[in-house]
Amino acid sequence: MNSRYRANPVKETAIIVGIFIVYFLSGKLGLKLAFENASATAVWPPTGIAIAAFLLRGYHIFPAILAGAFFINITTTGDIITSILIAIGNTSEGLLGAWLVNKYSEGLNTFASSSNILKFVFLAGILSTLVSATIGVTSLALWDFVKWDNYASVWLTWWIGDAVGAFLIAPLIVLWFKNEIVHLQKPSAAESAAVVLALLFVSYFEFSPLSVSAVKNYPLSFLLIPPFVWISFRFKKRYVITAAFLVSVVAIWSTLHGYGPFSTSNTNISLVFLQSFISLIIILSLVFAAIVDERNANEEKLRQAYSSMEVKVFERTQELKKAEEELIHSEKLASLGRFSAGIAHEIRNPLANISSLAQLLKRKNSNDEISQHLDFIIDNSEIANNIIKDLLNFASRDTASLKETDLTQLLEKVCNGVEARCEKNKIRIIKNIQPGLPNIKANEDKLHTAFLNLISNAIDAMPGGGTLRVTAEHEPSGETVVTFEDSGSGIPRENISKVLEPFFTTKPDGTGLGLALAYQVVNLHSGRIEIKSEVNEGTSFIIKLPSVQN
Amino acid sequence: MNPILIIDDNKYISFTLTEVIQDYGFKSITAKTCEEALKYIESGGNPPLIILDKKLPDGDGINLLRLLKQKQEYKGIPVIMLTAYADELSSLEAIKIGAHAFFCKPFNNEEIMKTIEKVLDKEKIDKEKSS
Repeated sequence: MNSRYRANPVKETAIIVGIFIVYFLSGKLGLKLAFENASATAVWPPTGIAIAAFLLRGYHIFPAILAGAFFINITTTGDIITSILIAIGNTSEGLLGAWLVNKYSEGLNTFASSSNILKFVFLAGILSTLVSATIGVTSLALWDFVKWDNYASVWLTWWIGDAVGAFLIAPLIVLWFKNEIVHLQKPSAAESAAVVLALLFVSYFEFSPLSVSAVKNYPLSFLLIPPFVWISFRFKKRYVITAAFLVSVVAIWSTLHGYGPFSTSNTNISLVFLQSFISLIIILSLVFAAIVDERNANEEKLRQAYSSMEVKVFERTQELKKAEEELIHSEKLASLGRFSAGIAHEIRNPLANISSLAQLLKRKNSNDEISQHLDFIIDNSEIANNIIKDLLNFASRDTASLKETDLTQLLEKVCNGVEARCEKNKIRIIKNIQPGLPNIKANEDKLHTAFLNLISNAIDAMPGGGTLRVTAEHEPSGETVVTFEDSGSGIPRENISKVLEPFFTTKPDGTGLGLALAYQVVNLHSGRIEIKSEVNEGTSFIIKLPSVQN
Repeated sequence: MNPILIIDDNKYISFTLTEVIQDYGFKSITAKTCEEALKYIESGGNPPLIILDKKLPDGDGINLLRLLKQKQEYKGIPVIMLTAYADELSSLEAIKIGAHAFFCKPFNNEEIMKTIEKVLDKEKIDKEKSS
């Protein structure tokens, strides 16, 4: 069934021999409890062993089962033909059970969910055991080992023995060999001890020859139910089935010796009663445990869904907050623009007067010192005027004037324009412009101003000289990325978020409008600016602009 | 020569321009509004040149410019426009309509005066030619 297991033939043979031995010994042990007929017992663990072995190792281990069953019977009756027939019946029972479980009940995972446990009970426990009981008892009857009159009661004993073997032993083996994934909180040592004590107490009370109730055979079998409910609620299924196994061993011993609630004058009937009751407890406990586990799993899923929803809500809230901040920011800028436009006119008139009168006075005056002072007045009017110019640039945000623009050409123009200034400041410009950049939609003048402002800022950041890298490349995302990277003083972390705000400056003679204007212009082009900066290493302004769609 | 007409509602600008123009040896007269200016022109003021502010209390200087340029009898008068807005579009518009020059406040006296002198010289020559 699974080639992995056949990779090592020596190991596999050893396993087959091992299964044979376990099967044989458990069968001989079971037949020790055969009271109705030497070959039919109410306690038949080999059924469970066969099903578990087929499920765990694959159908190819069937010789172990066939041989095991044959030797159990040949050493019991000494009859070859019936032994062969019974062996065939036992083997096909295991094969059929495992095959049905593999096909309809998720194979080894059959004990993972409540519905699959019930399927296992029906397919492997009730259905496939009919085969062995029918073949076995019929062949015994045909060769006179069973009287036809007794056929029904032997058949029932056989069938119940096999079914209980399947219910009890198959899950015991499978659950211990296959790791269970559970959604339980690990029970404390105290709880585990308490459960063991409860089981011991009930078993003692019901089955011990020293207990009054056991001796008197009071029908107190129901006392086993509470501890099993407890176990199935709080422990892994492997512990549930182990407890059931241990209790059934104690109960069988006790019943055989005439103690406990199942003991009657007919030992076989007693065992059938006991086994039926134990089967019921096993099935209910396993299903209970599976349901509890499923509930816990669902609860966990819900919790996870809830917390992932919380994360999502948090993220969305952050996004909203950010969008809101951006909106406020852009509204701030817009109102600043309107405000600037309003005051610019009012300031420029007096400024014109100051400047113009100073020019007039200077023309009329012949005193050098006064002339110099008048020059200062004129120069300062010009400085004030430049601030107003920058401010006014905020006011004019017309997107209509975007035209298809050759970015490469624009960048060349900007770089050429600052060459002299860079040379003077001992700054090396390294241009790295990807050939064949797609055009962008731009207001060339404004973008030129923005790039110029960014470069000016870079130059100012490198008073002792340095390197200015101008990079432009087209990204597969459809954006064109222009980077201005300087090797200058860098921006302290706390200032990075502020450098794009108007009037923020760290330069003694800065207006704080250059970068704000660049930001504004990039915004106008539906682009983004990112800033990466390390103090004393340099700053990169990364401008991402949408390319023209073809 | 008739005085140059300065149209600006800002009394300081009018004063300063008057002073500057005087210093360069020309005469000038001022108007505060479009209406006042138009009245002066229509009453036969016949200025050799108009200095026109873009923003006036009773309208846009550009509209007055357009009006003058549409009238046969005034369209020959050269107009220099002034503005406190550094607005490329409106300067282009003004030149298109027929303004002779466009200056932003604050301005350089010398530049304005050079322009004025050039215009008036040409006017003089034209007039001499025609007479």
